[in-house]
Amino acid sequence: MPKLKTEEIQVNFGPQHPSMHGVLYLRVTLDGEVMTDIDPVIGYLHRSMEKIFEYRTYAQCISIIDRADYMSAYFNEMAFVQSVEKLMAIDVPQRAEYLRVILMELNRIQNHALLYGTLGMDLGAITPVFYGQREREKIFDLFELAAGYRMHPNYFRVGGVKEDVPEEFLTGTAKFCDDFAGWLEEYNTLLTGNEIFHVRTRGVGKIDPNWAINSGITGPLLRASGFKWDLRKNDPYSVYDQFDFEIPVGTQGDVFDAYWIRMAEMEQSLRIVKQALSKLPDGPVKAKVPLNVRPPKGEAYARIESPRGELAVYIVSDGSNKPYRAKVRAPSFLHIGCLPDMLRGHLVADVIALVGVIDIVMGEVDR
Amino acid sequence: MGIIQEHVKNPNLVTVTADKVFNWARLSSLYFLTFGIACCAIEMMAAGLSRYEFDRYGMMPRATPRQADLLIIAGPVIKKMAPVIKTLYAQMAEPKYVMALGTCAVSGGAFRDSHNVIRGAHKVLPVDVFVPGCHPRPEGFLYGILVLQDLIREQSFIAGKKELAANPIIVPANITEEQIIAKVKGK
Amino acid sequence: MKPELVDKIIGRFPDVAHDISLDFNVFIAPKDDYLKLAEFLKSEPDLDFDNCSDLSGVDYLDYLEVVCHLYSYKLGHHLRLKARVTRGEPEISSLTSLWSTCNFHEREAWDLYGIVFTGHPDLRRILSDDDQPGHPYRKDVPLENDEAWLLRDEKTSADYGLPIGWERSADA
Repeated sequence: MPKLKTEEIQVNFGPQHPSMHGVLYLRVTLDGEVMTDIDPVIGYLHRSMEKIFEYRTYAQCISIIDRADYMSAYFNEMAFVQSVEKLMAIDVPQRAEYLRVILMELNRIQNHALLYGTLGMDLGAITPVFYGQREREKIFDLFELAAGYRMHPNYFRVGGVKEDVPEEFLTGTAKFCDDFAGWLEEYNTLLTGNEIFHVRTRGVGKIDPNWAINSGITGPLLRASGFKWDLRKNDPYSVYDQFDFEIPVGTQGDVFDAYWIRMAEMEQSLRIVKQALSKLPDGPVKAKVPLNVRPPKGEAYARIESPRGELAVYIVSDGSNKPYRAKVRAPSFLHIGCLPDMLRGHLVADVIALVGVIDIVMGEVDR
Repeated sequence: MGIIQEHVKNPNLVTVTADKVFNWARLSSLYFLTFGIACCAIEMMAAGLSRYEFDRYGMMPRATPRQADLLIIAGPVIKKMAPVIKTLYAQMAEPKYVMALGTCAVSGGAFRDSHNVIRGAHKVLPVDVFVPGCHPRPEGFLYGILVLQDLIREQSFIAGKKELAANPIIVPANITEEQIIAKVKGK
Repeated sequence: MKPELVDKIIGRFPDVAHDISLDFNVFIAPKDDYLKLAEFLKSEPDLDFDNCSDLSGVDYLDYLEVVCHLYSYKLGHHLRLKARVTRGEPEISSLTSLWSTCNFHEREAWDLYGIVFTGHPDLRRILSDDDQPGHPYRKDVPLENDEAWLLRDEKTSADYGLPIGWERSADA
C-alpha cells in the first residue's frame, strides 16, 4: 500500500468571521484536522487611541476610552478614573462608589450573558443568544436611565460620577434583581446540562495554572485553571471589601470550566448588586474637583477586575490638563498572545470553542 | 440581463412590471454579511436579536459574501482593513448595497485625527446609505434599512445600479418611533 | 514592599536608582543590569515576582523609557522597573525568556516607539501596517491624517470590481 503524501495547508480564519469575534485574523497551519501552528495577526482596528489621548483633556479621554473595550465600558472608565484619582489623592464620596459598583456589576452580568449567547452560537446552538440578549436589553434600559446612553455611557468622572441616578433606575434595578435568578436557571437548563455541549467542551484545552501565571492570563481563564485570584478580593479597590460574595474556581482549566465560572459569576454579581442597593448611602455624587482636571506631575497605575481579566491604565502626567502618556493594559491582548501555545495540537472544532470562551474584544486588543 | 439591456433602452410595460417584482423580492430579503468591525457591530447584533429583530424585514445574516447582498460597515475603516473590505465587496454578486453604520464609518468619527483611520467608508467603497450616530440606536439602524428599501424600490434593471451610489441618503441622527411607524405605514 | 527587600536589591545592584512614586517602588536600571536585575527579581525566593503585568514604552524627548510593572501573586508585593534608551542606541534586552507576557508587549513597544529588544524571538510589527514609516507614537511624529498614504493600494479599483467613476467628489 503506497504511503499517502500529506502536506500542511495554511488556512485563513480571516478578518471576517461568521461569528462576531471582531477583526481577528488567525493564520493557521493545519495537518489534516490538527492545528500545528497558529499566527495571530492583529491591528485591523488600531485607531491609535493612546496617541489621541495625548491631545485630549482628561474629561475628553473618558469619553474616548469607553470605546476601547466596548462590551464593558464602565470598567474602562473606572480604570482610567481610578488612576487619575490616585495621582490627585482624591476621596470619592461613598454614594458615588456604590453607584459605580452597581453599574459595573450590571455590566459584568451583561458581558457574561453575551458570552453565554455567542459561545452557544459558535457551537451551533442558536437559541441561547436570544435569551441572553433579552436580559442585555433590560440592562441597556437601566443604563439609559442612569447615564443617558446604552453602550458608551461617559458617566464616570474624576472624583465621582456625573450626576445622581433617577428613582426609576433604583426601582428598575431592584425589579431586575428579583427576576434575574429565575432566568439564570433557564439559561442553565438550555446549555449547561446539554449533552452535546458537554462533549464539545469538556476536556478541551486544559490550562495549567503555572503556565497561565507566566503567560499573563488573568480573569475567568486563570480561575478556570484552578488558581483562585480575583482582584476584587485579593487587592480590593473601591468599596468591594464591604460586600459578601464568593469567587468560583474551576478544577481542570478546560472550556467547560471557563464557561461555568462565568455563569456562577453572574450569580455573584447579582448578590453584589442586591447588597449595594440595600446599603446605598445618601450624599454627594462627586467630590469637589475642578472641571479642568490638572493632576500633579507623576505616574500612576490602577488595575481592576474586568469581565475579561485584569484591566489597568498607566498614566504619566506632566502637570498639564492632558495626559503625557496613557497606556491601557488590555487582558485580551495577552490572551491572544497565548493562543499559539494554547491551541497547538487541537482539532479545528476545538479551536472554535476555545477562541469563543476566551472572550476577546478586538477594541481593547488594538485600541 | 446584458442582452436585454442592450436592446431595450426605454422602460415599457414589461420592464416596469418586472422591476416591481424584482425590487419587491430584493428588498424583502436583504441578506447581509456578518461583518462587524467595532462597537457598532454590537448594536447591529442588538438590532438583530430579541426586541428589535430585523428578521421580520426578511434580513438574515450570511457568513459568506457570495450569498450576501448587503455589506454593513460597522466601525472605522482602518488602513490595514481597507483591502479586506474591498475584497469582500468584490466577492459579492450584483445587485449589492453598502451601508455605513455609525459616525466612524461615515466620517472617521471620534478617531478622525488618527493616522490610521480613513475618514469615511465612502473613500473606499460606493456607499448607499449613511447612518450617523455614535452609536446609532437600533431604531436608527432600522430606519436606515427602511430607507435602503425605498432606494431599492426605485431601481430599474435596465438602467443599472450606478445611480444609487451617486446620490446617497443620509439618515437623520435622532429618529423617533413615530417617524419609523409613519415610514412603514406610508408604504 | 518591605524596606529590607528594597535594601537587598540596592545592595546587590548598586547602580540601580531607586525612587518611590505613590504606592510603587521604582527601580531605574542601567542597560547592562536590566536583564540581570529582572532575573534576580524573579528567581530570589524573598522577592518571587512571577507576574509581569504590563510593559510599555514612554517617550521623554531626550530618551525613550521601558516601564515594566511586576507583581508577585504569592507574596503580594509589587514594583515598577524602568530602563532608558536613546533614539541613537535603542537596543535593550528582552524579558521574554523570563515572562512570556512580555512577548506581545515588547512587539508593541518596538512597533510604536522603535525600542529594539535583543533576544526577542519574533520582533516584528504588531499593530501598525507593515509599510508604516517610522514609529507613530513618538512625540516628534505629529498626529495627522495622510489620506494619500492611507488609500494607497497595489490593486486598482478595477481589480476589486468597483464601477468606474464611483468616487464621489463630496468632501469628508
